[in-house]
Amino acid sequence: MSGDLRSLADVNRLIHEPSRSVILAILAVVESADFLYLLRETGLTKGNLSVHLSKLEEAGYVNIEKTYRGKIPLTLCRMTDRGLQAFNEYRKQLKQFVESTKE
Amino acid sequence: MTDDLKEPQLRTLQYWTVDGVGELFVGLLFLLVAIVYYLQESTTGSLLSKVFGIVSVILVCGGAFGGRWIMQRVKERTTYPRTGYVAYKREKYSKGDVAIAVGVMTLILAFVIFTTVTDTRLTNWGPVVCGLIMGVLVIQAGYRLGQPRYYLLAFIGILIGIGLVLSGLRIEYSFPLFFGLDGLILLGSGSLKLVKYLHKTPVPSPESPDER
Repeated sequence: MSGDLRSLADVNRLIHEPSRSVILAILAVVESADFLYLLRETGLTKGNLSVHLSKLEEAGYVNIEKTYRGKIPLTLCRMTDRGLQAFNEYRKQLKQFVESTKE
Repeated sequence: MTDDLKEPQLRTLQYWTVDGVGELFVGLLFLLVAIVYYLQESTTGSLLSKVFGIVSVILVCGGAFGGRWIMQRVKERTTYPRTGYVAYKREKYSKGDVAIAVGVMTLILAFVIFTTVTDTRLTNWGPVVCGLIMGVLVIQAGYRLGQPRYYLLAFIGILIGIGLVLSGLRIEYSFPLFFGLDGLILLGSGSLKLVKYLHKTPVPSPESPDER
């Protein structure tokens, strides 16, 4: 197996899950977003989004801050530098794989 | 590497325009500019005219620099409780972009201050020139945000400018009329967008919207 093909086998399994890669794709282009925004953009249920965010937080890819805007609770999510690095690496590996399997 | 994340980038940018608050703000600003300019013209030669001139400079500068802050406060009440909050990444502008923006702002300010201090009247082509400048800016925004309805707004603005020049109205009437009409169009468009948005997206149920 060539190096490029093997890139998919070495891919980051935590990110290589559709819901989590969508969450990271959104967080990669913003400074921060709240839970409600992510909920609407990803189309996930609250429970699912919570679970995926917790996993990303545990891995140090996402930073979650619980705060208030006035009296309204706000859960702000932002991507960490480590998360951005891992996500970019993941995308690079996917691109390599797609390039190497072009017909 | 995030440069080619086009789809999420575009969707995030479009989110800013989802509620029509931007159009409402610019429309209101144009209306105020129209009123102040008319008052300035109708008191030409008096001290009051200079005061209105200063007010118009404050309006333009305040709108340019404080607009985002004001719109954020409005969105905190209308948009964020419904569809969520997003903080945008600060755009990195090249030195050339900054130089062009500062140059254009300086020219506009110098022009406004010069016409105020010297009581100089604009030529009758003012509305067309303004329509074209704004048209280009609105078309650029529409292209960047993927919003074809902005093209229509730009086209209407240019048409208003041409119509006012062809009508032969004197500049002291045609110029505020241009801003007034364009402001009304933007207010109408923004209001429609806001009403539609509020109707389509009710505030989520009282159970904490961001429970984890």
